[in-house]
Amino acid sequence: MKPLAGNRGRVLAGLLVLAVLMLPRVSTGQGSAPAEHAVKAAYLAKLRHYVEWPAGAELPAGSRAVIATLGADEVAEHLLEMPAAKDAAGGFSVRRLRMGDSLDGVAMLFIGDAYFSRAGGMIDQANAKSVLVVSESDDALRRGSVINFRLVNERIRFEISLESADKAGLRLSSQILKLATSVIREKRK
Amino acid sequence: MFASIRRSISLKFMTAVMATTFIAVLLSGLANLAYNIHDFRTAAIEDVTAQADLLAEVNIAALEFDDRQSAEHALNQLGARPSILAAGIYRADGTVFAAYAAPGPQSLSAPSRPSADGHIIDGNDLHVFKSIVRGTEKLGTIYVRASYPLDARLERDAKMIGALVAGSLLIAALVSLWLQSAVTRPIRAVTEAVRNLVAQRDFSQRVPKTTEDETGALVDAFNSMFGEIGEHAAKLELSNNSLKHEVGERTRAEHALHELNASLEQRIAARSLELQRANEQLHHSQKMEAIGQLTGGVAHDFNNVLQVIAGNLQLLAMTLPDDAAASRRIETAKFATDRGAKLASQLLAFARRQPLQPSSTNLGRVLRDMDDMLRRALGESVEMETVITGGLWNTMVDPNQLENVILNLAINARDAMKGHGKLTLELGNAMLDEHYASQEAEVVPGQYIMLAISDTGCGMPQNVLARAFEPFFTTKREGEGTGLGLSMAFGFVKQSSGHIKIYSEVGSGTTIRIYLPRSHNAEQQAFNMMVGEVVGGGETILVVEDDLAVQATAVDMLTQLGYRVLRANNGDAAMHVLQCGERIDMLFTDVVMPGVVRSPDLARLAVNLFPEIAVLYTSGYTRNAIVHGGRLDPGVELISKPYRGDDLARKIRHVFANRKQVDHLRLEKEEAARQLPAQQEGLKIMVVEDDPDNRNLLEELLTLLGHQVTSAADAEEGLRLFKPGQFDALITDLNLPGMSGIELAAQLRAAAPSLRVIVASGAGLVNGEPGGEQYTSLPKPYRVDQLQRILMGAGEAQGVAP
Repeated sequence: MKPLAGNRGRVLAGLLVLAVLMLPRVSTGQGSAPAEHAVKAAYLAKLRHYVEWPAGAELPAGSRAVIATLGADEVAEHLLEMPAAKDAAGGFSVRRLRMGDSLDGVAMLFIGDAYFSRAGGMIDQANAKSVLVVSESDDALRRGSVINFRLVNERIRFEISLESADKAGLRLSSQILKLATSVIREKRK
Repeated sequence: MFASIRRSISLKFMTAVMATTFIAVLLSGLANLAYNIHDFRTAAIEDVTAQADLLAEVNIAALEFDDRQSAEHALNQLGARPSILAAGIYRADGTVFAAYAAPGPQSLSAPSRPSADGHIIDGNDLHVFKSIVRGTEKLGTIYVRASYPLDARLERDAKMIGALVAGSLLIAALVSLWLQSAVTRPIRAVTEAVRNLVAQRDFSQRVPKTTEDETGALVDAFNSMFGEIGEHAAKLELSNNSLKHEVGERTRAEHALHELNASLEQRIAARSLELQRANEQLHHSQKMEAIGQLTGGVAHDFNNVLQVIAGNLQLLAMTLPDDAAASRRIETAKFATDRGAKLASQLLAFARRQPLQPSSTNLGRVLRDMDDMLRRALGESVEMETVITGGLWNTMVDPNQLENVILNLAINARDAMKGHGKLTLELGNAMLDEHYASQEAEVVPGQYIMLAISDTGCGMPQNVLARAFEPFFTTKREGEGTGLGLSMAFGFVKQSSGHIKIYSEVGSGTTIRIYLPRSHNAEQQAFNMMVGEVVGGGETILVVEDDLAVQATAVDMLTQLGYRVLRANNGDAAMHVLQCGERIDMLFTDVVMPGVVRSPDLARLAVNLFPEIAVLYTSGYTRNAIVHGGRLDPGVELISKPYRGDDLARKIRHVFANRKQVDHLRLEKEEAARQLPAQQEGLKIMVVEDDPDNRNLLEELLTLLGHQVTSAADAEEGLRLFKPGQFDALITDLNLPGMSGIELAAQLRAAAPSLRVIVASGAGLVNGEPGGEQYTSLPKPYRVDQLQRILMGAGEAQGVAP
């Protein structure tokens, strides 16, 4: 699968995102939401392996990465159920945030769709503190999200904004870039 | 094969190099192969594992984020690697996440379930399973199946090893060839040279040196060794040769010794036979000698007896001339005494003691003279043939006795032929060589005249032959023969220095060969006492005889003949008679007498007293006193007992005739002395004359004639006295004892060629040797003027015809 490129691709992607945005509702309404949250939680847990934090924001050795959630309790719960959340070392800890909470010590911030539109401040704070912002909302990438989950063909896929990653001082593994349905590069100035 | 390798250094080299190379290359190849296989395996596993790791790495995100499409896309990238046959990604729960299969005829797919981590080699395929983990969390498993071309690799490596081995062996062969040329070839050359050398045994050969290395040193060592061996071999050969030679010599010597030993017995036998024969001969001659002595003694006494009887019978016949009856009886008795005398003379002949008067005789003439007599004796039915070789030599023999012998042998032959057959008489010249002389007793090698008397009679067996010469041995009946014929012949021949031999074949006949020595003298016509007129004389004769009966008979006979007779019984008495001074004309003496004075001494005394006296001996047999070598001394006259009155009368006249010559010479001498008182110039003359009277007379005569005379009694003395240049002339008697006058003349002429030679002879003109020197001949009796003429001028000298 070739990554989409150009305006045409973007149009198509927009259409697709639109369609996807419509679907969760349908699927949520059909009771498939728990599976979706579990997959997103698993992905969140795995994503930390493919991200390189800048030197200042680096996790202290042996410490557990902090995955914070905002407006996504189901996902947080799934995270907590994962064996890695219980590991003393190498694992992660889960922190549920509220709007306006400090992002200190947080490595990743998952922002639920319901909260994203209002979480502009949090995103800026995250960018400043080199926190990886993961979202599940349409057009989230243009609004400062680095990785955005999308539902494609009933499978959870994701899109990546390297521009956002750059702003936050994060480097993403090429492997994950390959898997991304789309990648937004730096703005051409 | 192994044998040829064992014998050849080059093959050993070749084999060693090749084997070493082969084993080294093969081992290294195999080791390399093993290493290669291991390496290949490790590399293959590592490669595939790395591929699996890479795939895991690449696809870990896809697996984590369940992006199958991306994973399959990544797996499909493996199409760029055809060795990857299949690949697969399994989830942590073992379910297939993504799979890949290389395009091809066989579609291979990943197994439905993953195995534990690790690799599995299944034939030509390599399966690798690898877990995908993060930290301790197993995310899934990656599977890669790759081709594992070990067989091809093995084949390739085996080919490589084969090529390597082949190449190495090629190089090894080249190296060994070089080795062979550098090392083996010189050694082989040395070996070949040594082999040739040993085969030909020529140690002068040298091995050519081609290199300076150890082989060169070996060649040098060999060459010097050959030199030494050659020297040793030469020495050995030399000693071997000498040894061989020595062994050959020894073998020859042993062989010769062996032969000698083998023939020793034979030679001993031959020598024994020879000795036995010589012994027998000696025995035989001793026997004959003994018999001879016996018969000689008997005959001597018998003769004396007969002499008395015969003499008295003669006298009786004179005293009774008119009584016819008495005359008849006397004749009968005389006949008997004649037979007795004959017998006695035969005995003497056998005893080699009969007095012989040998003279140079031509036997051919003797045989011709006897021809009539022999024919009468043999009778008409016996054929007689006489074969005489031309150019027959003369022989020195008593012809009268020889006639007796021939007659006896002829009569024997006639008796052997029983009156029918053929008698052959042969005369020829003969040589008896040393070989023949050594085979027969009493034979001197030299020139002989051979007389063979052959008959065709009954012959003699061997036992008779052996005794044939013994006296009184006869095969004839009693009264037919005396058995003395052959004995007499034997004695006569031996006494005449001859040889007699009988060859007889029973049934075929007998040949008797008589060999008589050759004489170089001319034949002398001897005075035949048996014939001639019986003449008496008036001379005075002294009869000396110890046997009075014989003496009386002789005296009576001589008196009857008119002689004046004196008598003496022995030598001493005779000396007295002689010394009485009465003139005596003849000394008639027995040879053997008792008393101090022997007959030769008596004769010398008589000659001294009466220079003109004649000497006549008589004897029953002769002794050395007057007989030397069976012959009378020169100038000695002898009549054998028994003698008949007629014989005595004739003999006495003969002796007186000889004296007449001497007297004649004496008269001539006196005349010459008177006629030629002074001879102008004398000659130096040598006179050789055996008769002392003749010699003395001649000497005196020639001295009177003014010559210087040197006289000699025989040729040997003449030779001794002669010196070249001292003599002008030689007067020699023809017949001398020993060397003849002719021989003497020839020898002196050789020394002094200008010497004048006058040969005197009683036998008329002298016949010289054929082709010999020419001599002047002076026949006896000669006169002084005749001699003088011959001496003074050659003109009247008669040349001797050759």
